[in-house]
Amino acid sequence: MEDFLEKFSDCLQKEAPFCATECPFRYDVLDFIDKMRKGLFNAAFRLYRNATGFPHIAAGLCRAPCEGVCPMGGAGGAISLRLLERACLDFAKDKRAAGYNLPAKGKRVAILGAGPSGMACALRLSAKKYGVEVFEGSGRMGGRLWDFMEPEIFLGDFREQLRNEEYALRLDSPVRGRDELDGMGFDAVYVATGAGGAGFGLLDAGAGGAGSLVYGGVGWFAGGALVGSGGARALSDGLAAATAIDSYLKTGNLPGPRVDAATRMILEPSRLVQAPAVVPENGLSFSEGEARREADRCLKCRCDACRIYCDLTEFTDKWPLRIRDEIVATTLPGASEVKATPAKRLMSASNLAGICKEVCPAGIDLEGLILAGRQSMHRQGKAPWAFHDFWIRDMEFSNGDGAALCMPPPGRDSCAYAFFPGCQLGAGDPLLVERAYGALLRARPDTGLLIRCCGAPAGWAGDVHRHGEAVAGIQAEWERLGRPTLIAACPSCMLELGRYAPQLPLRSLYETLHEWGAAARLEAAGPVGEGPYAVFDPCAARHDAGAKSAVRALAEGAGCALRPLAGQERVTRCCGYGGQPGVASPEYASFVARKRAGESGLPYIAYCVNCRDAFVKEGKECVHILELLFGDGGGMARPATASERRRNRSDLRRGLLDRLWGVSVRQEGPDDPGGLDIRMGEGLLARMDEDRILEDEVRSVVEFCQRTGRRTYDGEKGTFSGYRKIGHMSYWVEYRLAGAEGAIEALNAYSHRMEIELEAVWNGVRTQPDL
Amino acid sequence: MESGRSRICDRCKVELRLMDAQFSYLKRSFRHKVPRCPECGQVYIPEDLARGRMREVETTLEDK
Repeated sequence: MEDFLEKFSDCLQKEAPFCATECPFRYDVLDFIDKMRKGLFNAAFRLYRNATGFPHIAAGLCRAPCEGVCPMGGAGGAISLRLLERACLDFAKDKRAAGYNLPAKGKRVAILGAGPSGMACALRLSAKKYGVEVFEGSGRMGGRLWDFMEPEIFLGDFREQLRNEEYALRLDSPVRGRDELDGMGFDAVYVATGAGGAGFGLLDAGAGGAGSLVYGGVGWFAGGALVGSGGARALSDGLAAATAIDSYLKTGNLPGPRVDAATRMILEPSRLVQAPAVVPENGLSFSEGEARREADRCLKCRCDACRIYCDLTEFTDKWPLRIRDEIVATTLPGASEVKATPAKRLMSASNLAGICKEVCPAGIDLEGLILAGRQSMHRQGKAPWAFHDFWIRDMEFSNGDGAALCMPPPGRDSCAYAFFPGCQLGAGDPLLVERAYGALLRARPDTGLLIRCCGAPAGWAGDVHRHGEAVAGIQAEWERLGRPTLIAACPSCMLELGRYAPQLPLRSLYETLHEWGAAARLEAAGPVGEGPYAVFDPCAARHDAGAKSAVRALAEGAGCALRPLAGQERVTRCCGYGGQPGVASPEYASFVARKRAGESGLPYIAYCVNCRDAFVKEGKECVHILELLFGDGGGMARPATASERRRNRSDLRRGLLDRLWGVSVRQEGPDDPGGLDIRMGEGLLARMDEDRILEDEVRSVVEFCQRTGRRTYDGEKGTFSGYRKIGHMSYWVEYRLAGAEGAIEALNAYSHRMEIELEAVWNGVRTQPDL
Repeated sequence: MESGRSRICDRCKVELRLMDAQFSYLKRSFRHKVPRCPECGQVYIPEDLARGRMREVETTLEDK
């Protein structure tokens, strides 16, 4: 986990926008723009005033260096922050200076020079209630401002902003030597005597470039035109000096040289949208409407590639640094009573699609951190079992005797290739697996068959041990088959096996079918709907260029016209299934599926059956590439229910063994335990699928209730209710006895995760040994 | 919520009454009144309780 956390130090989330680092005042431009966009001119004015000290002087001195770095410069014209700042001066109704009611500090500061820099320092320090005395050599305030702007502008600004502050101004009082201030009781001095003014040794090399020294217990600081800062920069020097002096008087430390670090911000290219600059109709300044429209053009530059591409950051409205902090807090050892676990559900909701590290300019791997977080939670026994229980049990079923299959090709002992269809393709449609295998066999009769789960559910659950067992299981079967090249149908299996069992030679089914096409005698079933289509590349196939192009070639060979899918061009994204958030955060899974489905009006061609099912569930027309090649042309089929998915896997295994190897297998277990004839209506089956309740589980509950008599009876409705705990879950079924033949009609089923305890112990006596 | 008043325990043939039952989830235990058979303790959890309040508590505990 530490490895992933380390990378976060490179996160650019907090980097300033380009314009702000060019501005001498380095103020919060994004906040300013936001206020201007909303027409909150008073608030925008306050922000600008607080940043500049003297807003009218700053606006007058501004030479708009920001415009040179604004990315909009190449997309319709740089944002005119200068005119926006002027607009906030024009339209703010309340421009009274702020007054701060603070106790006097009891320390005194001399300021040499009443130019913009000296006055800015005086403003800040007097607002902090230092005793401030300004010594000006000439007979007037303003220094070089007299050359740049009308005196009423800067004199008015001095007057207004200093309205609530007390300070002493000594005109015609040049200070020529340090000793002149001796005995006057100053604790610090700011020297802003202007270009060519007295420097008091502060500009010498000995000052270390910082322009500050301590002489006889008094801190001396230099700034403004004296140190070469012109215009607005001189003003900002005065503000910075006030901060440095405040810090010096509190701590005794002199500041280092003022470093204005350049921003490392990187703007996601897709953020740049052409928009013509707003030109003031009067040629000089914005109207209110013009100002708001210009502010609206601003891209509000910040590094937000993750927020654009990662669905989880959008859904949770969280930035990566916060997610990191929450994951760190959540995975810290310790009981939840004594520490917060804010990211528990967030970690479980992630699709683990790895989009973040693809789009992040700093290469931060949030997916890796989340997976490591899940593993940590599992190790600590703090991962709620319910989040992954359904798929773990599904995986165990897939790898069990009723569904798993490992066979060399018919009539042979070993093989050069083995088809690895994964667990979900056959669960969705066993016919596709059988026909795809048939095609492979026609091309290469030395192709065996290995049907198992790749272990992804355990990996996604953070269960490292169980995941390792699943991968070892595949490895053992692969050895048994004579180490064939595995031909995987599922892109997630490809990714998982490539990552965790790199020693297994592996290729994609789609590349193989494309390459072996003629020998496999592919006869496409033909398009099942009106074209054209867009191919939806699953997140797992992101770097599998071979599979991507093979699927397109196969689809076109089947007569489909294809169009690109805009949302997937930069980086393939998840359909919502990955990482299995369906229980932990069904809202999120559905949010992602809906979003992906809406990214094109075209029907999709998928080559991951989980993508196909996720889209069809959201009402999106989507067909699996194997349906185009081997389907019955039936078009968009309803995804199989959870129970059908198990039956299909058993049927697939039995059917293949029978038809290809001549082995007949008895159907595993009676459908109705205890010889009961239990019936379920369509409506109930649909609700059960939604709740991930299997038909076998309903049968098991009814059988238990009938056998033990542990059930309640509703006299009004004539129905029985009872429950049984299966695994971790407790399942309830309401049913009635239908007719004389002993048939039972299940009417309702629901479940809960919490356990009913000690039911069998009643009045201190254990009454029910079977519970 | 369905009270279970017209509901009887099928074995003891007595009406269920609201009585304390003990539940546990994710290493935490708590008690709640649910319809039970006063004779043998058989519990009945109505659907709206399972999908409503119980789900809420489950979600809260999962986030803890």
